[in-house]
Amino acid sequence: MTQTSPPRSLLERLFDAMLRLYPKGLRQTYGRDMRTFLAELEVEARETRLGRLKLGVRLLLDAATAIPRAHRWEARWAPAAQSSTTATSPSFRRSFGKEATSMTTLRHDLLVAVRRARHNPGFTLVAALTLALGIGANTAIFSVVYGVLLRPLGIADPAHLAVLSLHRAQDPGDAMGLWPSHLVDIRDEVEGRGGVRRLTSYIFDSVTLLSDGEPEELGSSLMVDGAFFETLGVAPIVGRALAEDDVLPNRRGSVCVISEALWRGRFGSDPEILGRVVSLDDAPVSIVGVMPDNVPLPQAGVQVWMPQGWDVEDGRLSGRLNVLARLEPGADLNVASEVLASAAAKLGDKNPRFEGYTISLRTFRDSLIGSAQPAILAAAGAVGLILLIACANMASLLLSRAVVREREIATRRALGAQRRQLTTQLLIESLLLSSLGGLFGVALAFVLHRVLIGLADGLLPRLYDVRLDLPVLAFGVGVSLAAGLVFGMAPAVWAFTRDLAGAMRGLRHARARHSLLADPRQALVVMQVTVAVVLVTAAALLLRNLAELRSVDPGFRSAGLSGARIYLDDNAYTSDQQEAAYFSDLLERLRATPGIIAAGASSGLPMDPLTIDYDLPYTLPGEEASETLRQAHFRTITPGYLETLGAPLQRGRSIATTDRADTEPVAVINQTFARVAWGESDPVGESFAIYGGRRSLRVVGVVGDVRFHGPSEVTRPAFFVPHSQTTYGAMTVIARTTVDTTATGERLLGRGTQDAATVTRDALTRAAVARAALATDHRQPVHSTFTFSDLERGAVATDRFYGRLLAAFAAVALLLAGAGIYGVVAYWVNESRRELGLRMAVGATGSDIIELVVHRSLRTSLIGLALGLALGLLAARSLEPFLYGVSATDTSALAAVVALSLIAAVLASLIPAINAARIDPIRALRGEQ
Amino acid sequence: MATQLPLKPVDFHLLLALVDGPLHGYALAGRMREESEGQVQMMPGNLYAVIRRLDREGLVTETGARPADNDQRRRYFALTDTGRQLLADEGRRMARMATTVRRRLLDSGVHDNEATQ
Repeated sequence: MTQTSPPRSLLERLFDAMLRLYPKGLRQTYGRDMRTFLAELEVEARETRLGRLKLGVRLLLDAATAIPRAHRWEARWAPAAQSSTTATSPSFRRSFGKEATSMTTLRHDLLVAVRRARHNPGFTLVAALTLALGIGANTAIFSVVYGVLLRPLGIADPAHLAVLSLHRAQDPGDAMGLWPSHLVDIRDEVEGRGGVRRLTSYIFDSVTLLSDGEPEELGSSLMVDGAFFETLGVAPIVGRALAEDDVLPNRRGSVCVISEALWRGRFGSDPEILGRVVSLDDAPVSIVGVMPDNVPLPQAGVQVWMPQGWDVEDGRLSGRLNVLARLEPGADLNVASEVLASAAAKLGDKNPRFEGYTISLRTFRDSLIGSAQPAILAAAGAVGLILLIACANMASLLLSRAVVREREIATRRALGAQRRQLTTQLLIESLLLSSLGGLFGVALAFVLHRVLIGLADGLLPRLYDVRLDLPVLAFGVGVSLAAGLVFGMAPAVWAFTRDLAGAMRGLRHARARHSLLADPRQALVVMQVTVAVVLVTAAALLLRNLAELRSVDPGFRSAGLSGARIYLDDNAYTSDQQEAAYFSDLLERLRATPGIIAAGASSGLPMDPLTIDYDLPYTLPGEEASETLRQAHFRTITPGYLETLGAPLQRGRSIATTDRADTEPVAVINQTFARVAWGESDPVGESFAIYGGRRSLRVVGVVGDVRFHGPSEVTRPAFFVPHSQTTYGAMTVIARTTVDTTATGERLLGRGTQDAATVTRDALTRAAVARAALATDHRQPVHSTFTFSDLERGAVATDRFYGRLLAAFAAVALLLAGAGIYGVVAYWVNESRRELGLRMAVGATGSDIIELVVHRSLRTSLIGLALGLALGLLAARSLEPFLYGVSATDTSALAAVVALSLIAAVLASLIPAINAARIDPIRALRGEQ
Repeated sequence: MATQLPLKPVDFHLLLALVDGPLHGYALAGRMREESEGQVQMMPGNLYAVIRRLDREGLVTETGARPADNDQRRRYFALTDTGRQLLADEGRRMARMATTVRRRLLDSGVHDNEATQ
């Protein structure tokens, strides 16, 4: 649409959508007038707060009756009326009398239901909105369940694609990649046996793309062997995939396949992309295909795939090959696992270094989403509980209304109304309510879905597959209808178990004495409070846990620290000397930048999701290499790195510029390493060996423990070696700024604005690193930049996400349970006007009445609270894997749950209690309102 | 199937609302609500569906003759002669019915005031 129109309200959009459902003739003649009418109604509705919502409900109900009517009338005037209306002609009625009659009855029931809903918009709105909350939240979470867990992956037969991992038999969580030489052996051993059809291997790499102009670092690049695409079974959207013929022995091939995103972005969806020659790491490569986005190959976000023949001699590939196995259709994963385990055992026989190692298989799907599955299912369970509370609210409201209509129902039954007719009528009413709730719920789901996607960014796998599409919406609609059917039964059943005669006599006040279980609404309140307390308990524990995680000392000072990742191009930097020189040049320049007080580089950062960890087995003097099962975390660092990080030196010295390639190999170890290997004695001056005893390292210092993987991690032994002695081309450069930015920021920008100052400062630091990198070698782009505050936040992001999600669920649950309590108490107060009036007439004061009402309501809530706490403690056990610093029976969390739930219960009954205290005893006793 | 006596309440009130002169939709709905003492509350969907039906049946028509509060955006509707005739017939029918009710109630001993309340 080129013409700009004024912004339309939600109601207008809803109305326009409904307008399409009217017959064309009516729409064309009067559509504009109907919109004008709506505009008038909106002006009118604006005067009251609930007005717009009520108007929405009334418009929906209006459309529900007017649309079928208008179509019926339209058909009457249609020129071909005779033929097209046979369905309602007398002869039709005669021959299909029964069906026609039941349809008529159904329509009548529906009209009655709509009329009733229209006459009581407040009730309709409360019931529908309650349900909408439940359905909206469930639909939004189901979009995640469906997108992450259920939606097809887009690769062929994912159940028979498996991921290999090489790890110590005792420690499957600590896996590493394979060596090219092993791959040859293992392939010979397993292909064609135990249902293993084929193995394929790939490595993650980073390449520099140069095509007309700017160089761009493609951080997510894949070097694959010739079997890769055939094994995954994914068709390109343009051109072809890579095949065996593209692989050149011992090096990269001269063709590549690019991602759809890269094609659309960098190449502007160029239709003549095939055959185009670009430069990747300074080598001409021609593009032969484009792969679809949102298909994990083997994960989403890969930008370019290149064929490569593995060079068995290339040390850089050691332990880096990722391997996938394609199994025969119908093959058993366990059988295939055994075949691979025996191949691994043979590998161990040939090479003592791999003794004690094994290879295990897990399905591709499992490795892609495995860890997210329990948390997503837990969230789905929690949101299901919310729906339960919402449905209980609807059932309670319908029951209250059934009580009011009891005499009507009793009269109709006495007059001979069939049980089926009454049930149908009640069911239709509840279905109408639940459809309305479903409609609002789905609208709400669109909002919640967006919020959820924003919050979960980077935390959930396959987020790109999370959409609100047909299957998800069908779920929402299905849930609403099911809720309507199941919870519509409650009043229907109840209506027939009531004392008919009593109802006819109008003994309404008799119900005030009903015991808890005699009134299903009390039982519903108990259930609601129970469920809400379970959710609040879980949320309280997760939030306590989050606070605990935040207070953990990471072992470094993150304020003022930021930097950039630089992955040197293997082709341009071919020797260790060149790489070492590059980083020492860069750091010199960086340290000379005004404002930078410290700078250093490391092969990996703490809490950095992009850091690939290396754990190396080590031996102490006198031990045999094959005996050791001990591993330590390994990092290569430049002088100044530990100082920049702010990790405190506890003994000896740090890595220094005097540690050169030609001096004795040294290492700085962390506290945990010192304790594990040397106990209480001073490790400085001791030595240990890596690489199967081939390289001995002298310990020159001990630094404090740094949490490499986030606050919840148990610190592991770690050692740092000088970059000059163990050179890496992929390093992360970090720098710290001079100024105390909190103080400066506040001085410059005023109190409370240090956030802005921090952002500016971090941006300046990162720019300084990028400038220094450019000055050192302009062909070598910076891969990515970061701040340590971001890394720290990122490390607890998942905990924070689930903590917040559950807190939101708990809040909604409490709100709905509160609404449930409110409804029942308000109804009880209304029913007990005579009793309350009598009490006041004989001297009860207003506060006595308030106390009485709140007390009665609390009795019910307390049962729910007790049940909820018991169940909550049971449920908390299943949360234990997510809890780090907090026990599942944390007293402060539980105390908060009790306090919060009590406050909510009291608040919910306070408003009706206050209303009760305002009852005029004289009018109440006369039976007036 | 043309509209016949007795008129449906909605049709009756719609025709009645137009007796004094042409009205646009929103004003028509307001007049109907007023005259029916709140019993007939029309929302856009049903209102225009009914207007279209009565238009097709020749009881109501769109009019170019616009009243003082002329608003170019809207259509104004007026009674046709047939519509006016039908409304009058309905009025007479209702009067006859009212008379019958009153007479029968008086016969059974109910006082007139009570009967008409």
